[in-house]
Amino acid sequence: MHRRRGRVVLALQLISAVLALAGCARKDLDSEMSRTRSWTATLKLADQQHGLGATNDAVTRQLLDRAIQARMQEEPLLARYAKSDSERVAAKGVLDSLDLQIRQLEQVIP
Amino acid sequence: MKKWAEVALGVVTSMGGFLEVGSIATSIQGGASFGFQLAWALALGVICLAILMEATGRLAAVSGRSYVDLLREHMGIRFFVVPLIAVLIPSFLVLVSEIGGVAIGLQMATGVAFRWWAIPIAIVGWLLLWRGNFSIVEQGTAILGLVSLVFLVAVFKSHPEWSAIGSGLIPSRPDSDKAKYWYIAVSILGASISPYLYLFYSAGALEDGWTIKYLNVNRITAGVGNLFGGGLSLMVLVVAAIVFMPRNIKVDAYEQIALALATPLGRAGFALFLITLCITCFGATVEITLSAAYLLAQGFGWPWSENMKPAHDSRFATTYTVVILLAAIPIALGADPLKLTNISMVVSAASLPVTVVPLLVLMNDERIMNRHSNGWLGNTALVLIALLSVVLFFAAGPLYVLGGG
Repeated sequence: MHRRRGRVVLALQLISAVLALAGCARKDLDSEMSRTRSWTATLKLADQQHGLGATNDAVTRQLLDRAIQARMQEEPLLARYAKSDSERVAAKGVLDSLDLQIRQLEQVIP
Repeated sequence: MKKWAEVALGVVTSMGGFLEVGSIATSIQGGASFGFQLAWALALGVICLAILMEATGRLAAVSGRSYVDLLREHMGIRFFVVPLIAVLIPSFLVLVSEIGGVAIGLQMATGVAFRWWAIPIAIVGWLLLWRGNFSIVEQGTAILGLVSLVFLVAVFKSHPEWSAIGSGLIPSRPDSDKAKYWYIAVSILGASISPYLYLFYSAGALEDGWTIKYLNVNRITAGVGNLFGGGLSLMVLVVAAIVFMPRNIKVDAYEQIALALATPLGRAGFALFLITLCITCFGATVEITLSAAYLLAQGFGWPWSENMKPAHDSRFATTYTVVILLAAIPIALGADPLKLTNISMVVSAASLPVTVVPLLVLMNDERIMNRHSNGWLGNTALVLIALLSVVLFFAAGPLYVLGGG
């Protein structure tokens, strides 16, 4: 009986440890800006490859949709993590670059 | 002569069947984020897998029983339930990811959403298992999987710095993003040493009728086959390091991976990537389904063989039918294939101790192994893998939360 209770306590401790780590998971401005920049670079490469005829319309459209989805997720996160004016300017800059790339690709993809 | 043909076929099968959704996704993510720096994790995973496959293959060839049979018989059914659950859960998750891999490949080719492909893929996979035999399932898909050699072509065309790749084989600390680095390292190890791989290999040895005369075939197939297969995975990592890393592209979606081969090889590279993704993931789909059915059938003592007609091993055939159809459901409901892949690789890594530690015990049981039990070298290697598996068990969850969740 005692052994079983001990196992339950151990399991609960392990779950709490994982949840505590989840709370500490590193989500910060740098990582979110890096993710946004990554999508900008992805769309740039997708645009190039589509222009060269290397990829089809379907995958380019899917990349565009994924980037739009990522942009929607990133905007509130960047707003939350940008504390100072300079950080807010930097965050707006990376979002603007992604918007520009999205618009460019939208003109190319039917 | 026949033996050498079997060795050649075994090596080709191991190479063509090596890449699957987990090894592709984790190698691409590793290469994109850390260049060649994680090549050591791939090398370590391949060495561990080769050792585990050689051991389970030798166990089957010497005893005429699969590893799972022996696990239940010698450790008892109460103990057996633990590895049964610990292997079934990650195998099921990996299976869902493989179906997702084929589905996403078809989505990229056709534009039809991946969720619509899940059930048709499961039905085609089931038909192959129902109508085919072990050779068709194992060798057919693996030989078609040789199309994945396109990654090797892409690397040669990109003229990488070979010395930099070589230095990636030596473990080193990352300059930044340590949690992500270790998380991807664990995922690469989870993808390389998935328990289903060596359990399938052990059952396959019996399907192919291996006896004690096949010990050398086993040694060469496990060693050379995995060496070539691991080499292919390394090429995937190198392509990602060359294409994505300089552009600061972090891979968050499968669609991004399609650009990896399109960039160095153009339209042919893009088409061959889609074919590679579909074939390798489909091959893994049928193998994991079969592996789950082997696990349950061998564990509960049911008749089993992919070479028997389904009417003669009905519980085995029912198991693979149910497993493959169930695995299609999450993808049909729209689960994100890349997120599932990442989770399943971490769960795979965490599940290793319960299959690795008992193997060490069985490999030293002279009642089973006679004079072919492990020597000091084999035992040292298995002890080190067991220790690594325990580290992975404790590290996998926290690293997923900190580095990838």
